[in-house]
Amino acid sequence: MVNPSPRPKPRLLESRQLLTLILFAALAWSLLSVEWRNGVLHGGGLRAFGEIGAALFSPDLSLDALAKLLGSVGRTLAYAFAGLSLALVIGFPLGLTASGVLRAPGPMRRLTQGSARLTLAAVRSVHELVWAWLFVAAVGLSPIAAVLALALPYGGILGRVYAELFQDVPEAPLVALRSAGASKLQVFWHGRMPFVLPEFLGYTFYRLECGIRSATVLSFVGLGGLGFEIQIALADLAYGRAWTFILGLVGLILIVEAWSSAIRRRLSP
Amino acid sequence: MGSSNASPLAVDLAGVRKRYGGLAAVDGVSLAVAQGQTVALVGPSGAGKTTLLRLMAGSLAPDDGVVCLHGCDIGVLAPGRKLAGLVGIVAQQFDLVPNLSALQNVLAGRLGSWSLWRSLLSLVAPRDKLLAMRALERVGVADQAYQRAGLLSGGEQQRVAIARVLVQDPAVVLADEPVASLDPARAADVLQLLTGIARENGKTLLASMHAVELAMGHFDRLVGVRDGTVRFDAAPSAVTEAMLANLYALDAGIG
Repeated sequence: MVNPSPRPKPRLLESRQLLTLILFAALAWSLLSVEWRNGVLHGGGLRAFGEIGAALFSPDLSLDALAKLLGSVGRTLAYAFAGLSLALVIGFPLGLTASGVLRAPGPMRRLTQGSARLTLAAVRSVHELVWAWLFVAAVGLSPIAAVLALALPYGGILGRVYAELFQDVPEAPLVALRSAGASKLQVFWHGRMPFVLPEFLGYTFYRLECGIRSATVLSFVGLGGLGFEIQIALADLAYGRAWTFILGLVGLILIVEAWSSAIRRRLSP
Repeated sequence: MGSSNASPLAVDLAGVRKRYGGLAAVDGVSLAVAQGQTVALVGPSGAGKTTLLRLMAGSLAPDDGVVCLHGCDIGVLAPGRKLAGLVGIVAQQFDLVPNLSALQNVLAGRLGSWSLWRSLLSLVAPRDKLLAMRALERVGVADQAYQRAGLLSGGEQQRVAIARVLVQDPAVVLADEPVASLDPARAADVLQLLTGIARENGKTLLASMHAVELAMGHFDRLVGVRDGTVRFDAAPSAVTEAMLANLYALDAGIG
């Protein structure tokens, strides 16, 4: 009926030139503070780079290394899956509440929507590595620490994205469902959810990939897994062995990516 | 109209007004439709046809006047099972859920009579499938039952929307420009289907139509609407060139 007027241009865009100038000045200033004369890399740096590069072509394929690879891939995957599952349990209801689609506009909606948004923002603003430190301090080196450390920030991220997805659904099909007598929850499950499903799954799978990478890094705090093995290999200067696990990580990510795109292809035209 | 006194009118509008800002979209409309009648609301764009339909659907409350369907003031009916049993809507298009199959879209017509659990279960294992398949067969797209709605052609989507309202089984069917986005041959087909289904099931049908010639051939009654008021109300055979010229004239009817 009434067309919403086009959004006013953000002020920041108008001062884009000024921002560019400031950023260039900052870059120039930072270059001035580098001590070029002593070399940017320390003496042995280049040689170490060379050795690490060469080791790429001779990864450690001994039975022992491969067995460890299999074990640590399993452990990393387990952390990622458990963490993401819990993140889904946290992110879905909070995201649904934060989207506000189940309530009529009013003070009650402002309250529930506001508190859900605040909760999501709070848990995702702390990085999983920091959560890991906190949980290790609290419950010790237990898989529970790793899973919780992943689940909280990922739940926050998933919830935020889900909320945006649920809001961004065309009204016409939903109006039709309502006129057929559907309740609010029925409109959600028969209208909004099917509408966003391909993007919903796509983003969740993308986050699973990120979760695998995060779980790898998390193992540096002593929780075991791929990252832990890479750390040990590097400490032993066994670059070939480090590559075994890095390549294992790459393979793992590629497999998950192929899996997720196969599912997405099946769901969207 | 010669409706019997025993049963209330299917649609009864009395002195209905609806204003958007300073503009009167519907300006004092009274309209009585007996059960089983098929009525086309015709008139230029912006005449108030869609607003009238939305008032009858209960999705818009009148500023003034009363809208009654089968004796129920629908202004006081909350959306839900009762309203869904009284009135169903076939919209222009794009009102199917594109990622659900045609079958699931048709079954959505049953949502008003299902509990939440029943409807969730139905997303996995369709319930009342036979009913939906019969409806899809009636509208001629049974072979597309498992196709995703978003992949169907415009005409097929409109047929699925009709099948959905068939499954919903309301007393009054409202159609807002049901064939506006279809080519002439398909438009005639879909109109034939819509009015045919209304007649065989004794449903009352009101449709807004901008194509008068098309409306003439299919409906029992034409109601000419312009500037929110009824300009004529007659059987298609009684509608004259002059009445139409007056209805669509570019300069007439201002003020």
